[in-house]
Amino acid sequence: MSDERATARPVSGWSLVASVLRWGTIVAVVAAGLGLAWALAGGASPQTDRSVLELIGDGGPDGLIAIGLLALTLVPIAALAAAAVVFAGAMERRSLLITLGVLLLLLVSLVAAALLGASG
Amino acid sequence: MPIELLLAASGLVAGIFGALLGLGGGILIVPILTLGFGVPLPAAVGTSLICVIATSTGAAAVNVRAGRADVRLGITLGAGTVVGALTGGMLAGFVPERIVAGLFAALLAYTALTMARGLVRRTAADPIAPVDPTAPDGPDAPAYRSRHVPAAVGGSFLAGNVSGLLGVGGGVVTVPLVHLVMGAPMRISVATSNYMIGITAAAGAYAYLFRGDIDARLAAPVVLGVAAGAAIGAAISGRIRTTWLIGLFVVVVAYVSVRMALLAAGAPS
Repeated sequence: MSDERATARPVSGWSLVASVLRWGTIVAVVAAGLGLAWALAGGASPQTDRSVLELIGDGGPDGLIAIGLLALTLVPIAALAAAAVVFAGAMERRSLLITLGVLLLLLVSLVAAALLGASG
Repeated sequence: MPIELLLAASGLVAGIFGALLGLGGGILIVPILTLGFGVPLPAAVGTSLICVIATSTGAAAVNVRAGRADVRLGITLGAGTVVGALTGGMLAGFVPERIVAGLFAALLAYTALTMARGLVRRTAADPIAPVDPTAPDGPDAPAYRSRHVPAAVGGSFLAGNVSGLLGVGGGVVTVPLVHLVMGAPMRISVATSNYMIGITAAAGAYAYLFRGDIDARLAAPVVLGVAAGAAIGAAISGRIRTTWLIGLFVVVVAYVSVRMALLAAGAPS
């Protein structure tokens, strides 16, 4: 096993991906935090055994928390889309195809889970 | 102390450890929730997966911008982890909780042993040549990126199954995979794993989210704590010696492994 020394230098080309990761996380966490603060301030009873879609549909503090949690799970998808943009711009075909494949897998798992949850 | 503060503090510790060691923190969050707060295992696993995403995205934002993460490799191996997470998530619906707890205890024991062995063998790095994880594929690509790729993808599939079934990010598998099998430097392995585990955890989290397995009121403070911890961990990762941290982590994980094994055996934990 080699032990090559890593170089670490800022990479402007990846700033889009980094920004999506950063701001997506911030927005999602803030939404969940506001929902929690609302719940604690209002003393609303927690909603249990409810799917994320049901909680969002019900509204209220748990709905806002659910929006934040769902948004957080969408950040990796958004970051993959941003990576695809970077690879497309750099004409890195192999990396672009792999990225689109993983993106498709995640989208399928999201849709399948939503449909199965809605029917269950 | 309000329970929300305790949950947030637990998340903070898990997030810091996770970001510093290339893990998602789930290895701590699941046992904390089950053993410390009495949360049912499915809810703990689902909450942990969401927290792993928070750890990953928070740390990855720093690592990607700083050029420490090999995004190309992370996405390639992510193909394996996503498929694995989907199959692991499907299995989770059929495997009894005590067996899941037993598997988790085994995972923790393996993690403790691996980390302890790494501590014993730890020597000063022998720099051979600088390597740039952000270099595109081609003649400038780092050598590790094309080393033992089929084995690495296969190992990623296993990591994904571990993630989907046990609610961890799979970093306990992917960090040694990238570092030992592919030969990437440790810092790149940790940063790349941090990037990957968010993709992995997302694949598994959707099922728990849409099934109603996750308690929003419980998950929120943990996620907040983890997000803060991950940001702190990523910010200080280049500045602290991880030897003592890994030693503490080994002790904690070994103890939790015993507690989870007792839970699996049905004994008072």
